[in-house]
Amino acid sequence: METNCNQKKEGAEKPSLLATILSCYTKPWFCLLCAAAGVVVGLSYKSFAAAFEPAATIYMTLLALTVTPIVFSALAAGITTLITSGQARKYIGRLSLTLIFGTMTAAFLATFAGALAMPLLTKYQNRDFIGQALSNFENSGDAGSIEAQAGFWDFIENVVPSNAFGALASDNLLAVVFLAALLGLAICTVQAQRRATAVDMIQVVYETSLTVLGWVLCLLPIGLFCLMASQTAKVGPDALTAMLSVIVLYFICFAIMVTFYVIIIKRASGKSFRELYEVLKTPFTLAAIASSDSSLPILMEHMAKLGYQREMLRSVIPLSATMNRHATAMVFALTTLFVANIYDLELDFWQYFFIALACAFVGAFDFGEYVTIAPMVAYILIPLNLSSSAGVAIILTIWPMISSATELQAVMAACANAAITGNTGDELISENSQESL
Amino acid sequence: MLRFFLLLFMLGTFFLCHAENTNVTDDPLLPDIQKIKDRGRLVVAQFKGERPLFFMRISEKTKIPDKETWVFRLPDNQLIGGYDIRLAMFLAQRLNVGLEFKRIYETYDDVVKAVARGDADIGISKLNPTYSRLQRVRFSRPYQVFSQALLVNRNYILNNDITVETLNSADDHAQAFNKAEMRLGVQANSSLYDFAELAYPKAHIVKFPSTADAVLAVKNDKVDAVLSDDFEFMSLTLWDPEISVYATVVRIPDSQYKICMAVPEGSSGLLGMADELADSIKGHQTAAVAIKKYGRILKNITADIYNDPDYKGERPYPYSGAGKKQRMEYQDSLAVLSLGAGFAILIFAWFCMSGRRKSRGN
Repeated sequence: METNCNQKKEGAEKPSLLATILSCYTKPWFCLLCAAAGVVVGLSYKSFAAAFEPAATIYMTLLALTVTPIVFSALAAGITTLITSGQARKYIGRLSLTLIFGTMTAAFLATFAGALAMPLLTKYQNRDFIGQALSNFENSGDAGSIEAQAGFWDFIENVVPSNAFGALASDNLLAVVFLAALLGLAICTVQAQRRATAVDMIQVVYETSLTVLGWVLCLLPIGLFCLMASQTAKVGPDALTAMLSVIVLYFICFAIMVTFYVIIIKRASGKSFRELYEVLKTPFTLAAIASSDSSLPILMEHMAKLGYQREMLRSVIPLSATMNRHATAMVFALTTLFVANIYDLELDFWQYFFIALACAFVGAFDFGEYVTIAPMVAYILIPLNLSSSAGVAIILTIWPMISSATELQAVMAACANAAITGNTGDELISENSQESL
Repeated sequence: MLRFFLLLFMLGTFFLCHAENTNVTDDPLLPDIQKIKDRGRLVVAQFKGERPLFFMRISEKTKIPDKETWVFRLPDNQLIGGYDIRLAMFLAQRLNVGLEFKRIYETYDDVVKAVARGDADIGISKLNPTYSRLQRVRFSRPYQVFSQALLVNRNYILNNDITVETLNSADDHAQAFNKAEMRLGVQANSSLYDFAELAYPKAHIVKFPSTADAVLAVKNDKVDAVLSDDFEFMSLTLWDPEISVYATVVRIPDSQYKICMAVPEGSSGLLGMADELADSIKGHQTAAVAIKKYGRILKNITADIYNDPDYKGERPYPYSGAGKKQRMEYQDSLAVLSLGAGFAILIFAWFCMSGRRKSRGN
C-alpha cells in the first residue's frame, strides 16, 4: 500500500536497488504474493503454519486498535459538519434509500440464488461433518449465550451502550456508531466557536489515528503472511467440501454484486473505469487482504479524490460499513436455506420472503468479528422452527473461508453507497487530489 | 540305651520340622479369596454386548498404546479391551490367578443376578447401583462417575421453546421435560429405567432392547428423548456425527451416574480389593475429559472393527458412514420466480438512483 513508508519525491535521482526493493514492499501485488505464500505454507506445513497464529493475532489487533477512534471521530465530526453546514438534508434521504435498497438487493439475490441452485448443488451432503461441527459448537459452551440473546430487545440493548467509555473500549462498533451519531448531533447545539474547537479536536484524533494506521500498514506483508498461513492451517479440506454449496453460491452472488457495485460507482461518479481503478485499487485491495476496518479511512481519503465532499464521506462510509453489511445478509440467507435443506423443510412462498426480508434487516445491522455476527442468524432460523445452533455452527465454519470476499464486499458497498449519496447534482470537483495517506 | 536316645532324637527332630512346616503353610486368606485361588482363576460376569471405552471388541490391526494392560484375548480368539477389562486383568494379576470372562448375560440385571448366585466372583460391566440391585449384591466404591443425560430430538426443543443452557437446576429440567406429551426411550432392565420412572413420572416411557435402538427411535422421531449417561451419547457422536443434526445432549443437573463393581454377599476380601482399586484409579473424570483423552482411540477401534469383514459381532450402534445423498425438490416455483423478480426490481431501482443528477445551478 502506498503508505507513508515510501513516498516518491519529484525530481529525485534514480532510486537505488534497496529503495526499489523497499518500494515494492508495500505494493498491492507484493502483499497478495505474501498472502498466497501464507496459504501455500498453511496447506503444506500445518503445524509450522499454526505457529504463526500469535503473530497474526497481534497484527490484527494492531489493525483493530485504530478502528474505533477513526470511526468515532470521522462520524462525529462528519455529522456535526454536515448538519451545521445545512447540507445534511441533501444526503439523508438518498443515504436512507440506498442503504435500504442495497441490503434488500443482496438479501433477495442470495435467497433467489439459494432457492434456485441449492437443490442442484446439494448432490452430496456431508451430514457427518455438519453433525460434528454442531456437536463441537454445543460442547464449547457458547450455545447458551446465543439462545439467550436471540431476542429483539436484546438486539436493541446491544446497540445502546450503558457506558459511553465502555462502548469505546468494547468491540461493539454498532454502539460506537450510535454514540458517535449522538455526540455529533449534540455538538451541533453547542455555541459556534466552541463547536469549531470541539470539531477540531475530534479531527486531530482522526488524523492521529490515521497516522498510527499508516505505521501499522508498514507491516502489512508480514502480517498478511502470518494470518493466511495460520488461518489456512486451521481450515481443513473437509470443511470446504461439506459446505461447498454455501461457499460456491456465496461467491456467485458476490461476483454478481461486485459487478453491480462497479457499474453503480461508475454511473454515479461519472468517471471512467480506468480512473476508478487507479483511485480505488488501494482501499479495495487492502480490504480483501487485510480487513474492511483498516481500509475505511483510506477509502474515505481516496473517494475524496473523485471529488466527493469529505464531510459526507466521513459520515456515509462509516455508517454504510456498519449498517449496510450486504455480505452478512447474503451469508445468512444461504445458511438458512442450507439448514432448511438439511432438515428437509419445504419452504413456501411466505417463508422465502420472510427469509429475504429478515436477512436484509438482521444482516444489515451486524458488525464485528464473525463470532459475534453468527448468533444473529437465530432471528431467522427460530421463527422457521429450525435449529439456530446448526446455522451458527455453519457460519462459524465457512466464514474464515470467505472472509476476504466479505471484507471486500463491505468496502465496495460502502463505496457504492457513498457514490450514490454524494450524487446530489453538484459538480464533483477533484479537490485535494494530491493528498495521499 | 544309646539306641533309645538316638530314636528319641530322631523323633524329636521329625516333630520339630513338621511343626515349622505347619506354621509356614498355615497362611489364612479370606474365604472368598481362598476360593478363587483354589480355583486358579477369577471369574468375571459381563454383559454380552459392548460398551464404548469399558468393554469392546478390538481388531488385531488396531494400534493402541499399552495394549497388553487392557486388551484380553477371549477363548474364541477375539480381542476385547477397555476400562473394565483393565480392572479385571489388574485384579487377577494381584490375586496371581488366571482370568475368565462370562459374557453371556442378556441384561445388566442378569449380570447382577449371576453374581448374587455365585456364578461369578465379581461383576465388572459398567454397573450402576440401583435399589433392587443393592438388595442382591454388594457394590464397590465408584471407579467412574458420569452425569445422566438425555439425548433430545431438536424438534422437541424447538416446539417446546426450551433454552437448554438455562436449565441449571433439577427443577428447571423437570419443568422442561417432565411432561405428559414427552416420549422417553430407555433401555429395558437397566438402572436407567428405575431412574426414568422416578425423575419423569409424567412422561410416557418407552422401553427398548438397547440404547442404540432408542437412539434410532429419536432420529426417526418416534420418541422425543433417550436417557443414558453423557459419556454414552458423546461417544455415539464419534462414530455417528450425523446424530447431532437431529438431537442434542442435555445433561441432567445434579445427577450422577456411578459405575461400580459388584460382588456377592460374603466376598469381603474381593470387595476390599475392588474398593482399593476404585480409589486408586485416576478416574472420576467428566465425560468431556474422557472423550478428549480416549476419543481418537475409540474412533479408530470402532472404524477398524466395523470395517473388518471377519467381524460377526453385534454393533452397539448402526454406523451410518460418510453421509448420504440429499435432493430437495422444488415445492414452490412461484416463490422462486417472485424472488427473482424482486431482485430484478430492487437492482433496477438501485441502478436508477445512481444516475448522475443534473446540476441545479446557482
